[in-house]
Amino acid sequence: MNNEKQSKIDYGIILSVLLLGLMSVATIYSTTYLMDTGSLRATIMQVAWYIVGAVAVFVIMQFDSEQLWKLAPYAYAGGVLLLILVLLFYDRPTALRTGARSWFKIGPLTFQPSEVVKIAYILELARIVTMHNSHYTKHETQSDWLLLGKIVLLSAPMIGLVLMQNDLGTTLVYLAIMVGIILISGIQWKILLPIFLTGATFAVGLLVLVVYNRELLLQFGFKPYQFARIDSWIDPYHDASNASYQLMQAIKSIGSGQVFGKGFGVSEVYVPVRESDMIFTTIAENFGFLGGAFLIFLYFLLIYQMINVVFQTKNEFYSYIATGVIMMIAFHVLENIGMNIGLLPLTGIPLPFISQGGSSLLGNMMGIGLVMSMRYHYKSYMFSGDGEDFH
Amino acid sequence: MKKPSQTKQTNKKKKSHIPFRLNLLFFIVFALFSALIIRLGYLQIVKGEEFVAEVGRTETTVATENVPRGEIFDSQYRKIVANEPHQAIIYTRGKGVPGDVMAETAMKLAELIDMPHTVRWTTDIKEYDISVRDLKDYWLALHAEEASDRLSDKEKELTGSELYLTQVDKVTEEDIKFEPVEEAAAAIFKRMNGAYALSTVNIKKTDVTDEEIARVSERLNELPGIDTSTDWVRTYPQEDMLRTILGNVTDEDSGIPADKEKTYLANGYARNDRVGSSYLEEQYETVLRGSKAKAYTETNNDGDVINQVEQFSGEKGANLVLSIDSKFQATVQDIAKDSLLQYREGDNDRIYVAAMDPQSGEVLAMTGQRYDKENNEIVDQTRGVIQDSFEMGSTVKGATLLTAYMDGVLTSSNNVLVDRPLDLAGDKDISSLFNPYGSVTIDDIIALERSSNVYMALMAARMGGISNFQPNQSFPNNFHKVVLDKFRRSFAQFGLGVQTGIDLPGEKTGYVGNATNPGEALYFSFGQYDTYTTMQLLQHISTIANDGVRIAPRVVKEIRSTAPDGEIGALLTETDKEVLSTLSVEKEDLERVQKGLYEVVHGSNGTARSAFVGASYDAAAKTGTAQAAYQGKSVTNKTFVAYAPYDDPEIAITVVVPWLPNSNSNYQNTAVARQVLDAYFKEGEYAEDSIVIEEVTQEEDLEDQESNE
Repeated sequence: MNNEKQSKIDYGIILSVLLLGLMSVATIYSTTYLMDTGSLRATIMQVAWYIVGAVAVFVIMQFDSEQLWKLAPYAYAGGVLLLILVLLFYDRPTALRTGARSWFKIGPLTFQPSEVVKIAYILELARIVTMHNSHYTKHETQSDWLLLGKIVLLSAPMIGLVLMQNDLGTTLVYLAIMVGIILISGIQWKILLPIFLTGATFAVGLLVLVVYNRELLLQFGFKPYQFARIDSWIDPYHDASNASYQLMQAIKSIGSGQVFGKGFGVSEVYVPVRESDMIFTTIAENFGFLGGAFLIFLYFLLIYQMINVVFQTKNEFYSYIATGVIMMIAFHVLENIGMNIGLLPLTGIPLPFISQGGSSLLGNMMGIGLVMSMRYHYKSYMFSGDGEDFH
Repeated sequence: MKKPSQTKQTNKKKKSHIPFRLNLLFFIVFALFSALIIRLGYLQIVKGEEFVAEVGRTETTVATENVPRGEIFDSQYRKIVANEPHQAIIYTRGKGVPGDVMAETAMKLAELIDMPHTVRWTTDIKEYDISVRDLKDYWLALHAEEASDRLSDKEKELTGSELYLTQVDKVTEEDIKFEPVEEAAAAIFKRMNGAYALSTVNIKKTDVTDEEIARVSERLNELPGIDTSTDWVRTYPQEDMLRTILGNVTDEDSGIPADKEKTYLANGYARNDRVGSSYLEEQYETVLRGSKAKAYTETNNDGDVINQVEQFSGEKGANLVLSIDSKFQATVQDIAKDSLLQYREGDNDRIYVAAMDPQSGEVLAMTGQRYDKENNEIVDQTRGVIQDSFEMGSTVKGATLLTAYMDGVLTSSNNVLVDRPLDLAGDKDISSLFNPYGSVTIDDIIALERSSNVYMALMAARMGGISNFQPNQSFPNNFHKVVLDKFRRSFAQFGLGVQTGIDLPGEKTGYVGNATNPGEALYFSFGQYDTYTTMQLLQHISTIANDGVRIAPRVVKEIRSTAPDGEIGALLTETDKEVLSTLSVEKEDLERVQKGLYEVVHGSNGTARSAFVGASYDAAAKTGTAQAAYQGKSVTNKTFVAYAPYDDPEIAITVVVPWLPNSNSNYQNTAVARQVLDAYFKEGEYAEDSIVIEEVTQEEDLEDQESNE
């Protein structure tokens, strides 16, 4: 872990991302070219976005932690501004189609700021927590509540704005990042545990009410259509018309892939909007359980390597950044694959590095850039001989 | 990064919380990812084969097209229910075809055909009518973007039908000021839009000209989903004959009946399939429906139908051949109608006549006719033959005596009794019509010939354990329960009080009284207590005529295919004679009852003697007169059962004339029976019947045809 002779460049992460990139391009080629219209446009666009992403990684790697520290507040402010702007100038046709006011449209390109703003959010969150912990060196009840307050206060504008875009999936990602950083920030268990337990109880209780006593929820101002997501999750075969149809087709497509898959570009099941949120179905149908499990393993490897970097660099600020990025990627993977295989309700959320879409890829690549910058600037901040401690 | 570094130095001793919590986080991610892999393995490895099977089932979609329904013929192969074909222009909707594509197809089609439609608010003709809403739907299908531009930002947040209805509201009068051809397109679009995915609807099914068919056929490739076809409607060449038991077929718009939806869907029906919804059409649905044409349908990723390969061309439904000869049926109907018109009295407004072959169970004729006071016309009430039940009176006495024989209380050595009025404690006294005051010694045969109520009541008393009935006799406990139980169990073997097993749905079994005093059991013995349907009474006399063997009546004799020229084809199945039960009665006992019924017609005191004077055929019969109540009034039901020829019965008949005034001069129960039997045996005024010869030759032709196969 403490091998100082390791390269400044983390080739393990580069390899993982490269493999994911190859899978992405191949899968999009399979989905949009082989199975559908026969246009190469989506595949070429994905390659182009990967190149843009690689440049982003390279640029971000150049920033050392001090520069990032200084940059964080401006990035945060810029992010909030972008999120406000998108609420005013969102692309109407896309919003009508997807139901979410999350996209700018410039010429032929659409851009979803919330995907990229995540990085700014992570940076500023990491900065606030680090700052707090350096001021209150011991975790005490009062200071911990203060820290929790700061985190929530900082998160509220961003989460609120994303929620206003009517984009539940991305909102949940922001929440996941927040929860991850709260966990790592060192707040005492006696505060965290009751909060997590209350949250979990509330969520389960709500779910039980949706299933068994809807009238009560309706009285509290819920709308019947809000239950549809839960309904189709619990019983996708109940109503084959809209939301459930997509899920039913997805599960059918994945299940019929069996162990080895049907082969590259072979699909027997039509899944609506497959190339973005349902792309996992292509991998699972083309390459079967082996392909799907390999992809999950790749993500796991990537996350392992990121955590490794944290242990190597032992920098508190970096730890929080890395946690944010890990939470972002892990949550995307969980929610996306989970909804594809019927474990979680459907929310519009892309599969990181694989799904078609530049904004999401750019956001993830920026996260990779942050983590890689840690190793890149590691030596200048190396603290020798202090084993387990973090600076 | 100065600040964090500085803090660290002031607090070197404190162990960081980060490694533990980071490991915890890593572990959670590991656990959750493992859950993903486990679920993936469950879906793909454990359940994989099921999904493969399901994909095979659903994605090789098969589009089906309906075939003409089988027709219904009488026993002489005259059509009673026929199909009239119409050329039709049809539409098969693909999976997920967008509205604008359908609307454009509708517009192209509107230019090729003359789509009858009436314009909006001017009329209320249902078919082809288009409402303002239909015009708006059509406009919206073509102008999706414009429609969404008209919405305010708040309205854009709406979803589903709320959103759509808001858009409908924004369509202006100006927008739907259409040219006639556009209105026709809207009417076409309405029908296309009403189709379920991969099912077929008629766009235009009446008055389609050959020119239209030609124009549409030439341009089929520009009209996705459109095709030409033939549709059919049910016609009834014999008009009202048996109309109420033939049943109905649903039309395409109503589709399969909602209450049996699951059953039909499970049997491969589509929601808009036409099915028999009542009586014969319902009973023989599986025969009449035929096999749908099937075609493999290739759909692309958008769900459009891109290619259809016919896999099975379908087969018209098989035809039903009834056991009823429509000539005879028509005669019976006329007799019943005339009788009703001429002799209707008091509350009597109906008459039921049914006849069957007692040896085969084939129904020869059945009719119910009812006089509709309000409209002063006679209407068909044929389904009443199996549904309307009455107290039938003495016609059941044959069954009573057989019950007594089977019970052992009546034997050939112990069958002589004295008929004199019975004084009943706590109930109306019982006497026989022929003997109101005196004492007459009679045996079982005379009891039937002269219709002795007292003889029957004494049999009932014996069955309850009273072998020597005294005036104002006291009854043992449970007397009526024991006796009624014996009677009902025995009568059921004649078909009285139970389903006759006729091949028509909706059969009723009549009213079963809840007796409270012993006298009621005695009244039961001469048909004064439970009620029976005409068909039950007919099965009862047929069972006696058929030496105790009870056979289920049936109106369908054969099932035949359709010949290439569209006429009736080869025999596919003969419906089987269904024996329901056999009376366990000694042959000589049964013969005594048959002899008693014979004496009703032939004996010097026979109650039907005068009615059958001069008949060339030997009939056995029984008259019945029952006291009944109708709307609180005391009324009389007159009934009649008969069979002929006595030695080898070909026909059994029942006539029921209910709700006559108690003092009446109506003898139509026997008169109608005589006329019907005369018609059957072609004598008297019905002797001149030449049609038979013609029919026979046709039948011979058919037999030739069969033997050639």
